Order: sequence, then structure tokens, then C-alpha cells
Amino acid sequence: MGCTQLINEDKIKLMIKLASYEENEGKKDFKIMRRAKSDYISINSFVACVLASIAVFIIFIADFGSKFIENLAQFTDYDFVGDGIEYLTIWILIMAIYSFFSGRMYRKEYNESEKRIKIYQKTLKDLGKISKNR
Amino acid sequence: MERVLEIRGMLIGLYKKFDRIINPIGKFIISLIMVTKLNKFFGYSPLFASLMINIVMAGLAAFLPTSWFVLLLMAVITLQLFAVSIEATVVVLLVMLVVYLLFARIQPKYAMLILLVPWFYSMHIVYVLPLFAGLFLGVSSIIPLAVGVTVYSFTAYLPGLLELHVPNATLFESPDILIEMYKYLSLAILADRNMMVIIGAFSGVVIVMYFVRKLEINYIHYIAIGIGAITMIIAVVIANAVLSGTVSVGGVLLGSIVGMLLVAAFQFAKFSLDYNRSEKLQFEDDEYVYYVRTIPKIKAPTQQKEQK
Repeated sequence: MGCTQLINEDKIKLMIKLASYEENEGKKDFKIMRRAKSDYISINSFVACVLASIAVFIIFIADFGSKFIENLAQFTDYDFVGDGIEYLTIWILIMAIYSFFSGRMYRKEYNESEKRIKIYQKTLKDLGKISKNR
Repeated sequence: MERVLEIRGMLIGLYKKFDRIINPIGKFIISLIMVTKLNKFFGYSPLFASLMINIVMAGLAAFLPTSWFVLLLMAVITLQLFAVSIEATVVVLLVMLVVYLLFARIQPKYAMLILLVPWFYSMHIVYVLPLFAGLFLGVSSIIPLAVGVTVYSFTAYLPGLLELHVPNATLFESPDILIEMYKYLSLAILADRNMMVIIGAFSGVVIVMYFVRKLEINYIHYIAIGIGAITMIIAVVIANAVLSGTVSVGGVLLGSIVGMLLVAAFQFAKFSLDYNRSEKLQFEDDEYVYYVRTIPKIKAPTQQKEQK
């Protein structure tokens, strides 16, 4: 009987929201918010581009290997420079497209985390006000 | 209609109350079906023919994140092919690695789509996926859908790839075999017009549905599903003409109708991916420690018109 008189329902509701957020999306959002926006986007885009480069180089090696082994007898006549320029052009094009889309994706992710963190901080402030007014 | 809405509300309520049990069981069943089908498709390694092994793998998958399940399936495929041909294993492993690094790693949320496309193809309900993706996932789902279609097309060339395997080949012969397999695959995939027709049609459906569902009209989601299905048929006809493909329009028509009905049913049930779930929370203040169990309420069905 005494407990129900002392418990503030509004305070409990806010604390539930905060605890639920911290248990779920908050874990990911706190990690994201540790970095500045530009750092988060550039680091993650860079990692994505490095991994994409590895994938693209695997394709290039397979392609080059098939052409080279086919013409093994005339390998001195092989146009290494021409093929090299072709691969470099393709790689640059893929990296440009990839970094554009990965940058957009990570920017969107950061913005969404930022919004949720702002709501979380506002809820914390509201909780602080309720606790002070007791 | 109200009775149907009541039943829907009751089912959603039950699901939200017991989702901690239902979700892992559901994941286990789906994983078991996928793993069993995959091992049946390959069937090269006697180790994976055992039901016990499949159950253990499905049990692991029930608790692993989706991206780990993708890696698990990649490992199964590698081990299956290793029983037949080392060269084919290397080629397929490199293909899977390229797909993982280029697509699954950067969009882990949609990595499952890449796996669902071949699975739904095997059940003849693949046209559900672009309609579902257009309604719930958005334009960024085009890439995993396209990759999934490519992966499915790739499976059709596996028997041909394995025919290039030379039994008892020496180490010096392996590079030639590898190159032959690579050339066979790359030429086959690049010449596959039907694959390009389907990718084009799926992309068109997702884009059209993405723009249509933003309109502020009553029942816009159901309208978008219908428009998506019509777009699928038109896109296949156009793509067949442009790319000289031979995709059966009758099959697409039937598949689109089935897809339309399934997605509409899903929309009606509206099991959103971001639903509020029941939770057990613990927190404290200066006076008390609180142990709370939250069970979300079912909102009353509202009109489909979006309010801004």
C-alpha cells in the first residue's frame, strides 16, 4: 500500500522508455555517436571501399590469369599496359560509385542515430525535471 | 470484416506476448528448411546428408545474426564442393567471397534477400520478393535482389562447371582447370539474357512501387501491390523484346498474381520489422529497483491514408 503512493507513474514510464532504448537501439547508437559525423562516414566508407577493392581485384586476377595463360606462348607481346589501364579505369569507376553510395548509406545511418539520441537525451532531461520536482 | 480484424488483433497479440519463444523457433524451422534444401541440392558430401548435422546447423542459425548464417551457408557450400572438386571449390569460394565483400558486408540487413531469391525460386514464388521489397524495403533492396537472381542463375551452371573437373589432375594441371572453369562461368553468366530480363523487371517493380506508395491515397499499399504486379508483367515483356530473352510471360503472370495475394495478406497482417516487442527490463533509482515487463498494446486498425 505504501509503495504505490510513493511510486511516480510518469517517472516509471520515462525510465521504461530509457531502459528499453538502452537495451536495444541504444547500444548501436552510442557506438556510432562516439565519433564525429564526418569521421564515422569517412572511416566506414573507406573500409567498405577497401573490401570492395579486394573483391574487384579477385575478379581482375581471374580475368588477367585467364588471358595470360591462354597466350602464354606470346607473353612478350602481351599488352600489359593496355590491360593495366583498362583495369585501373574500371576500378576507379567502381570506387567512385561505391564510395558515393556507401557515403550516403552511412550518412543516413548517422542521422537516424542522432535523432534517436536526441529523443533519448530529451527523455533524460524530462526525467531529471520530474525527479527534481518531487 | 470486423471479425477478421479481431482475429488479426488476437494473433498479433499472441505473437507479441510470446515472441521470445516464437522468433527462435521460427528461425530454427526456416534455417532447417534452407539448410536441408541446400544439402539436397548439392548432395556431394555424405557428411551433410545426416539429419542430425542439419538440425545442429539450424539450431546454431536460430541464435546467430543473419550475416553469420550467410557465412554458415557459404561454409556448407564450400565443404559440399570440396568432396567433388578442389578447383570448383576455389572458383565458387571466390565467387561467394566477391558477393559477400561487395554486397552482403555493406548491406547486412538485406543479406538475407540474396539467399531468399534462390529459395523462393525453388518454391516457384520468387515474384513475392520484389513486391515485398518495393512495399517494405525501398530502392536499396534492388542490389541484393539482383545479386540473388545472379546467384540462382549461377546454380544452373554448377553441373556444367563440375564437368570440367578432371579426376586425379596433378597440381600443374590445376591452374588450367581453374581458368577453364572461370571462363565457362563468366561467359555463361554474361550470356544469360533471361537473368538480365528478371533483374530488369525486379528493379522496375521496386522503383515503381517505391514512388507509388508515397502517394497520399486510401489503401495506397494495396494499390502499390497491384501496380507492382502489373509493372512486373509489362517489364518482362519489354525486357524480353529488348534483350531477346525467353522468360515465360504466362509464368510471370501466374507468379505475379500469387505474389500479389501473398504480399497483400502480409500487408493486412502488418508484421512490421520494427514492431514493439515485449521486454523484461531492470533499472533503479534512489529508492527502488524496478523489474518491469512491457507488453505492447495492439493499436486499433486505422485507414491506410498517411498523415503528415
